Amino acid sequence: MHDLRFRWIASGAVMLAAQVATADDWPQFRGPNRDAISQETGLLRQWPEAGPKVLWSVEVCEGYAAPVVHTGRVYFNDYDRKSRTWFVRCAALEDGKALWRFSDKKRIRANHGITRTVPAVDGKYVFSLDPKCVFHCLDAATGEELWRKSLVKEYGSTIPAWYAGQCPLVEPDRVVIATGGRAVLVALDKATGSEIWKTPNPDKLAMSHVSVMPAVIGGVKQYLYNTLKGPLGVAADDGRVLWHFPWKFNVAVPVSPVVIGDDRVFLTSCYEADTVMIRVRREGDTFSAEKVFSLSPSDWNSETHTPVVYKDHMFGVGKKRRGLFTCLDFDGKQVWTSKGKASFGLGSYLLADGMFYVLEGATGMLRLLEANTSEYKELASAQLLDGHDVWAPLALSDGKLLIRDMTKLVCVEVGQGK
Amino acid sequence: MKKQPTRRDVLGHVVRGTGLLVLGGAAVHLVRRANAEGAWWIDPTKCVNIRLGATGVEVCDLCATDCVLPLSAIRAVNEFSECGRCCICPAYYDVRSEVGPDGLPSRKLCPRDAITREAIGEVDPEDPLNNFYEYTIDEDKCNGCGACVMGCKEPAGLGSIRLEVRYDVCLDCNRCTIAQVCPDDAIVQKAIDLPGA
Amino acid sequence: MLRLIKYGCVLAVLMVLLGSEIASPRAEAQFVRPVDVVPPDDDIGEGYKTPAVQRPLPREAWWNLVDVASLSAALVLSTWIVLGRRSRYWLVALTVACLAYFGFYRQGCVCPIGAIQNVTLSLADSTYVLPVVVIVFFLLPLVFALLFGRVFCGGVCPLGAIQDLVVLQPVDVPRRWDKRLGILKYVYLVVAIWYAAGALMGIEAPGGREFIICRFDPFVGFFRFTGSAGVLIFGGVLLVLGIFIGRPYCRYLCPYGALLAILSRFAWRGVSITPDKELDCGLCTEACPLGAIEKNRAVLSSCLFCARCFDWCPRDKTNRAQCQEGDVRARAETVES
Repeated sequence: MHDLRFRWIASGAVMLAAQVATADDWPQFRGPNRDAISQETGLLRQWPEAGPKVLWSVEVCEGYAAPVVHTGRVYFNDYDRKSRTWFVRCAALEDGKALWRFSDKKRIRANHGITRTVPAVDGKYVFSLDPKCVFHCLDAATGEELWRKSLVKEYGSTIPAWYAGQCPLVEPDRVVIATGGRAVLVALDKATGSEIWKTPNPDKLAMSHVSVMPAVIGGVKQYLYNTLKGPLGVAADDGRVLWHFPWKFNVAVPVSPVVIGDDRVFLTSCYEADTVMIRVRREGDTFSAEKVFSLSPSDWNSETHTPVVYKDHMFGVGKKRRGLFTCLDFDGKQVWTSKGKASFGLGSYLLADGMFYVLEGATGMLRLLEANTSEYKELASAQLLDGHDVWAPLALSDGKLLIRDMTKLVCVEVGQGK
Repeated sequence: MKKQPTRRDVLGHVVRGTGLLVLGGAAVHLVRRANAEGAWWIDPTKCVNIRLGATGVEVCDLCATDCVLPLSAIRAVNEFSECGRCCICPAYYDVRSEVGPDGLPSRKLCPRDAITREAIGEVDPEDPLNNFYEYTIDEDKCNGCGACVMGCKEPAGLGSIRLEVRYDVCLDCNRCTIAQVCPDDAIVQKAIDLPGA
Repeated sequence: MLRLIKYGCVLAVLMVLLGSEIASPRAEAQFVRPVDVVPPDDDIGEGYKTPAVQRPLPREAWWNLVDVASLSAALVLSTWIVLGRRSRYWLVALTVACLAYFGFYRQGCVCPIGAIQNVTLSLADSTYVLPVVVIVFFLLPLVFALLFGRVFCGGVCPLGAIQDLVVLQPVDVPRRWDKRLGILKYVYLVVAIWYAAGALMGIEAPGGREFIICRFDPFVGFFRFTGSAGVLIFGGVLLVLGIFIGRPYCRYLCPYGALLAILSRFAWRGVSITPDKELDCGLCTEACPLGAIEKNRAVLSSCLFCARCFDWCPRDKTNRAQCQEGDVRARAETVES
């Protein structure tokens, strides 16, 4: 795992390169390294009876949009049904006080929630994709809109069913987003939004709910994306397709590709599609992908969230039995599950300080699990949210855990406090 | 000439009178309790197709196959007020079928093509996959096989489709043949209030 | 002896009818939806209104009325045809009509025979709801039995009708056997009540509560063109047997027939073969395929109102075909000699 991170740092892909980022930031979907792992330490391993301290909470519109944190500021997407306005909200991490709010009037009807995208912040810009696939670039300090792009108009994207679900990827010199339609992925200039490259789309791949994942495979920096017709790798420097692995997914693909080591990619999805582990090989300038193994949904699959790679294992909430938290090895064998202990529905999770923070999707119960590869071990639990559909990803920064349900975003002190 | 009643005649009258009284009494007693219509009813908390939480299990189609009627008296019923109106309805589409260029699964789930849909409300031409639809089940086609009921389950489905007995068709057999085979004992006799009764 | 058994059965029935009512309110688990993220009407827009769902209401009430009216009319007609008109011809017409309606159209439900169980269950379990139409179906033929005899068996009962139509070569069942077999229906009645109640006098029915009358109804499978193989075969055997032995199910098995037999014993105006003048020619006894005529008189508890005796009776022929009295006498004498 650590190797991987170093490789990413070495390849300059990671947020550390951004000007004011600190180790404590959670600047994008799945955190600084897009792996749902926080580098923080010294977090509480036991909680008081009443659960960890709730610092603040704000009302949010129904949806699954998680916040990000950058230099003590929280950014998240929201919507107001009465005034029919879409927002990017910025608040202080310390007390939840509103700092600015970008609004854009548009009609978005709730379709199993409204908001489900996470912005990406690099200290200067905030990038956010709204439910109707308009891509906004805002000034991180003021919330002023610098540019916007309607992916539908510019790239002929089809707004996915249940609206956009992808979270933009910020790189030091560009922002990468999947469009479908006339391109698969595009890299845009952060300051102007002008196109740096686009990936041609002869197969007419549609935009999925997957977020683009950076990886280095065969020594080549690439962006991984998954579609209904299987995953592909795109060269980071010019956007050409390096490899494509045809695989049939059903209805929607919300789970992002999981990079394992330097050549394997784990792909799982919902609607009873088979999960597959592939190996990507480089021979000269050409890449090829082949199946290592596949799992039927009756074996294991994850429906919405992307598993976490840690200690040479994968951890994630599987679909079976209403969401068993599972530890899998890289051969797809289940090492342990939470069977008989807890069911997490479609709850999300992140890893920090050797512990998993896992939400129960149906009830909002937050459970703290020891991240080990031998057994399910719960350290603490707390009911901080109300069910139902607590499906949003979590965010952790500066000992503060940000979690949300369908009505509120809550900030909880899980560190030692100051 | 009037015949004198014999002892036998008198006894007969007494027995008849008593018998009629008993029957009348029984009638009053029974009717007093019968303030509602008793009918076969599917308990949604028991039926495996309806019961929430029963996901990833085989659909039970005994309601379709085991009714004494050629077309079962059981129908799938979509409770509109509880329907998510999803564009990609997992009860309408076979979610395992290949997704076509329009972003929709290529096959329907209902083996009898009994579900029709219609876009409702505001229709955003730029966002065809997020329009709302009203799903209507054709009572003449549906045989209560339960496939769509099983399809509309958590987490994506809201459980708005249920199997219900259609009393305009049901013979109300004393011994409901479906109840006999129902593995969940979900078909039970229940009092159903008659409107206006 | 037979009498003792019969009255024992009646007593048992009465005990159940007036006996224990066990109230057991049934706790019903609530049906809880997983989430509530249904788009409201104003979110759907364009003035959309969520339509009402067709609720599965019970059969419309007028259908119940049709059933009850049909039953009443059929009972009245059957009484009038047999006692007033004394016509086999019209009775067959009524039989066919009732077979068509109660048998094939209503597919054998609702029927007074099965209703025994519903009434029993309703008395044993107060949570069980008994539809009014079932009560009427259960009681009306009993009232008619008390007044006129087994009117219901004659022209109304579809199970009787299907058997009555196959009586082609009736043979006499020896009286002793007839009586012995006749006890079966009382036993069946008690067992059916036992099973419908689930337990009788503290003894649980093996295998639990069961509507055995319906389960082993031999002819309902024919009305529905489907049924379990065993029961269909049973029905087929009974029909074949019925060619030679008149209406075997009615005479030996029908539990409702048991009730009717008891009540019709006290019928106020039953079938009398020759109400005004008696020829005692015995043709009627020969005509009766049910062994219900003893010593030239109808036995009310066994008479199934089939009107065959009238069809054969020279007296009725006198009326209708204006036969010479001499011919009748001659025929009567021939038979006697």
